[in-house]
Amino acid sequence: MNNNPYEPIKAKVDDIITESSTIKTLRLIPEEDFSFKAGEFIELTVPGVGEAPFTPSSSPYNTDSIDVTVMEVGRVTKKIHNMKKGDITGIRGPLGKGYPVDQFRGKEVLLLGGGVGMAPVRSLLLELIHDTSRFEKIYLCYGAKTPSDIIYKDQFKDWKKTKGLKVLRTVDEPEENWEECVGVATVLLEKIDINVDNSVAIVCGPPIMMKFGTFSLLDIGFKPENIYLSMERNMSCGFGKCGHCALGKYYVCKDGPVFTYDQIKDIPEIWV
Amino acid sequence: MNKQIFQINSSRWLKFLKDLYEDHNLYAPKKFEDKLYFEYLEKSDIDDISYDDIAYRTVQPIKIFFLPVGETVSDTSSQSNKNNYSNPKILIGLKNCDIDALKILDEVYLDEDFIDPFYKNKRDNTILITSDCTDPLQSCFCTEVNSKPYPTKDFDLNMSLIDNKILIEVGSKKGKKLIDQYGSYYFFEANEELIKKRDEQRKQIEKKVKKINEEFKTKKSYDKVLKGNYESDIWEELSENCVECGGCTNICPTCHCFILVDGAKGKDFFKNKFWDSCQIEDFTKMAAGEDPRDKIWKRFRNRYFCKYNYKLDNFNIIACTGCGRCIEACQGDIDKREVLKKINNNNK
Repeated sequence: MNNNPYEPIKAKVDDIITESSTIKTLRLIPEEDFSFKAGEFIELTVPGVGEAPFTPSSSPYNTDSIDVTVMEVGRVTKKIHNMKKGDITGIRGPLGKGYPVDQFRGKEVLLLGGGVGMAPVRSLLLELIHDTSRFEKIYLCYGAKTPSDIIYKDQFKDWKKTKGLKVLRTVDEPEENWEECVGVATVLLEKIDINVDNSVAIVCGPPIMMKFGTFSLLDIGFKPENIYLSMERNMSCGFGKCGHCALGKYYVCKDGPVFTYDQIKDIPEIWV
Repeated sequence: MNKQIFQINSSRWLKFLKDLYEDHNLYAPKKFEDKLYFEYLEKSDIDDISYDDIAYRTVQPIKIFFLPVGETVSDTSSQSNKNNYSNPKILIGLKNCDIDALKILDEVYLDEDFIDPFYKNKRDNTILITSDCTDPLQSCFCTEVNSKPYPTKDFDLNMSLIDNKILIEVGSKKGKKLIDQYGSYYFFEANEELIKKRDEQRKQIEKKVKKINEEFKTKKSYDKVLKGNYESDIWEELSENCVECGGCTNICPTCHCFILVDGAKGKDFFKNKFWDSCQIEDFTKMAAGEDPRDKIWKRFRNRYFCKYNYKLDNFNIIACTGCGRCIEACQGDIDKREVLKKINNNNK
């Protein structure tokens, strides 16, 4: 990052992957050196239009390009969905605090993702499975609305074959041929046998899923300090000055976006 | 640094300012009706500064010198690299509440992880000549937020008017340099008697501010008054007269929030930064529509907690200087001191 934190670096759109009817992944090639840790985020500028925060969904070990998985929900994301190969974007970052992966060593790591919340979870998963021997076991629990809303469909096949990684999926509304679980993401927690005393859980998804996911983890015995939440707020500047992403005394952009539940459990409106 | 206090008579002080004028842009308060406004000084204005007139704070908050209402923070056009050098600014007649406000702005904008280069540049190029308050306003309440109506640190030079003499206290190396460079011969070591008189005058003014605030007094400090009242029902009632104009946050010298707006000029792109307000609807709204502060009373409540609790937790200082500008600006006649008093009474 240069010495003006408001100044983006240019990044070219190299590929666009349609993940579902509302979600696309853009592969970006930054014109300057750029690297990040899993869970840190970037501000992606559509030149002349605006910017929005995203946690990259690609592996932090891949430094040639970064993937950004975007659900179309508003003005900027609509423009992002209309971008074409070769278009120029701007990126600022990496911003915020990511997942403390070193602290996960020797533990069972449970990833609980919902919907487009799978994006940061994928980046972390790719970091974890880069060398699974560092962890006791990895669980990936993913929930989507329908089978066609599942993102990264092709990669799930590889993950299911990865040693040391157990993958479970569920959908709210099954279609014919769906042979996996049915129900909200938390139903998957009943299907795993995890030693909560030596485990950490990572939760990322829509607010309602984050809330009930966290409560279910507490129910099965997880301690608040071992539950990592990737919080969403209206992050704009990305470095604790503009004030839009305040969460109690914290700025999600600077103090997060990854928080332990223990850090934020006493703030009344964390689930929005 | 040992306290260094000089005395100077007003004609010599004016000469000193005229000498400074050659390489500095000077700003000082000017009176319109009964209010003071910071104005750029022409050389010919220097003789007209009435020091009796700068007895209280200006209408404008000090942040206007460091955080313009709007500014371009990123620009792809080559013009953006032009060096906009201008003479350093000297602000004359700032009050202690202005200096207190800079502490918060410095914490936010000079945070070493992400220094705002635009703020830093202006901050480095500005000299602060403060002066004691001698006629506090009815909205002043610095004494209620653990501050004082005269500066004791973080200024470059401070002026106190005593017996037609000006006492100049040196507060920083920058201030000392100014004296050494531009006219050490104008200044003499201050007479002990004058310093005693200054200290006595200061005590009197402090008492006056306390007197103004007698009816609003709370036993506990405001952060403790608020603690435990976040989820109180009282906020809806307290915010009843708020019309969500954002006046309080715009006029507040410590409010630092902004919005970034992207734009295009031909083939070039830019980002502009404008003052924004947590009191205005949608400030915290997210792209998919969720908004943690979707009601006026939630936004109203946030201002109090941000000022007295969150900033205290983060920076160990509160973000309220007791300047009272928000009280004067409020379209709904909401007096922050009354609000806090009501919460305090609600605690019982």
